[in-house]
Amino acid sequence: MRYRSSLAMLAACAVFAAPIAFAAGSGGSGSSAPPSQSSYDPTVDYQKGADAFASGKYDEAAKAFRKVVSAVPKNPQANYLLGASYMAQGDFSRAVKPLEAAVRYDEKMVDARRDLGITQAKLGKAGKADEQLGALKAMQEGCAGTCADSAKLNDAIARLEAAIAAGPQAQSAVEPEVRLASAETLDATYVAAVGLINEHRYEAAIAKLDAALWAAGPHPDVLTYLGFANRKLKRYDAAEAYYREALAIAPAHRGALEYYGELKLERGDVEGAKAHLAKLETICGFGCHEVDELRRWIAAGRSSAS
Amino acid sequence: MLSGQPATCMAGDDDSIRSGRALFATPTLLGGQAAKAGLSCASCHINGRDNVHFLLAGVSAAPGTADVTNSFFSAARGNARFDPVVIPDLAKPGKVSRDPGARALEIFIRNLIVEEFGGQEPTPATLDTLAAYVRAIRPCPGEQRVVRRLNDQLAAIADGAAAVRLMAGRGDPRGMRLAIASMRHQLGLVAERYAGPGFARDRRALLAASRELRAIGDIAVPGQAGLALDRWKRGFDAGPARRLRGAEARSLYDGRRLDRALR
Repeated sequence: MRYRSSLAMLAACAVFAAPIAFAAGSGGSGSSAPPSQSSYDPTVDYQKGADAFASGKYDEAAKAFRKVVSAVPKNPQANYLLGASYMAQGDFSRAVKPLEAAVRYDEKMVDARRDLGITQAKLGKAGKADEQLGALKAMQEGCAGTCADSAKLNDAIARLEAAIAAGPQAQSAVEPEVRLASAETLDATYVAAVGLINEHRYEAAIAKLDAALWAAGPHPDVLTYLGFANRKLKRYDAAEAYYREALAIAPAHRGALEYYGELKLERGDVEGAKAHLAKLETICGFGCHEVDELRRWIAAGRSSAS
Repeated sequence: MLSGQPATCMAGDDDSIRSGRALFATPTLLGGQAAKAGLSCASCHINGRDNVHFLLAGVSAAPGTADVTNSFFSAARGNARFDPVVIPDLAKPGKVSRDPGARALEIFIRNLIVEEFGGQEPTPATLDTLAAYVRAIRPCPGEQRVVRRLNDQLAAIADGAAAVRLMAGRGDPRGMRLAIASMRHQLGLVAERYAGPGFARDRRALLAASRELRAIGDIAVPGQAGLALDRWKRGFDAGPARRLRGAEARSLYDGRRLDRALR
């Protein structure tokens, strides 16, 4: 998470770079505190891990992703990449736990289910491998050949079936299938995703933000807008999970506090929303748009309830 | 860029022009993504001029350009094309008539706030002052750039106070709140320049001043708010502002110190 003071904004312009962080969280020149007061920025280690992963340096990658997972244990991408890094080194026993976490926190992650199944097969746990195969087949049936992941699902099922058939005797390392996008285009991707949100094209925005999440790791701005887009689609539990993850990384993230407060209002929790407003007012000592917006929402909620 | 800025010579300095100048530099005016990013009209038009360094990935093609029909700020003008334009210098004649009788400038500014940035509908007094300011922007014949000083922010705070009084006089509570927001924003800009433990007391004073302004903004009766603001301004000028002036050379308004801090 990058501190977005007005000085930082000016500096960003001066060096011809516009960091991603401005929109959801921070911006706000003149705030009394940075949007994120987290002492650890998981996106830095995520980037290190992603670079090492892309270069085939899986030991280094695992080291970096371990740090990310330690700080953000519920992040499915980092968990998956940690598991994939172990797999690439042939360390299937250690791969199980992070791959299980990846599946737990993103049950639709095809790569994670495939590789967890392959790992279980290589460890001789055919029953557990079959569980993942069954889950993938259920996803395939639900998709009926029409969803974006259809080809990927077919490929994953074929690979997992082959691994189950081969059994535990094939203990060689598994080269990862996943290819990480470059973080260079992240800012533009983020801007495009926010544009899609403004156009109310939430599913398309989620796809873009997901791609940004893979490229950048658990960035609170990206997580916040994933929460926002899911909220607009009435997926309140998913939205809440994203907001909470953003705030776990950056407890003073203004965008996450505002939007989570709005979610609480939508769920009828006025007191919860007011608590968010109080926290925002403490953070925004020199005023900020997030305070104005959440206050407006609370006032509107009151009037509509009365 | 952090230490210098384009020079502007104004064709007048009445309360309407000063009020417009204050609101022009207030992110809240634009609302939406711009406000969250801390971007105001002045971010692209520094001192009403241009900003040759402005660059936003996905919005700019080259420094000093912006795609004003990008849905990032608002979908109302989104055209699904990446077509950035050069940010114009408002001191030069533009495509919109500045004839006060035609009021084309007021309509243009209104559409820019509401459609291009997704901001709230501006009040008539807000539009009048913004248009008055834009009409008054002139280039300076000699000096093209000037250094950034504490006095820029203190003058902007004074402009904001003038705007509060003007809005109170026109019975415009929303304009008053916007003007208060402009003053608080400027206090924040000052606080950023007084970084480090040696200025902790000054930052606390700035924060306290900002919170007092917030309370003044909550006063429902414009006359009472005006009186409270006058008291605030006297106290601020005699206290925090005086101390800040005395310490300006040690702050990040000093170009060399700023350079070191950013390394």
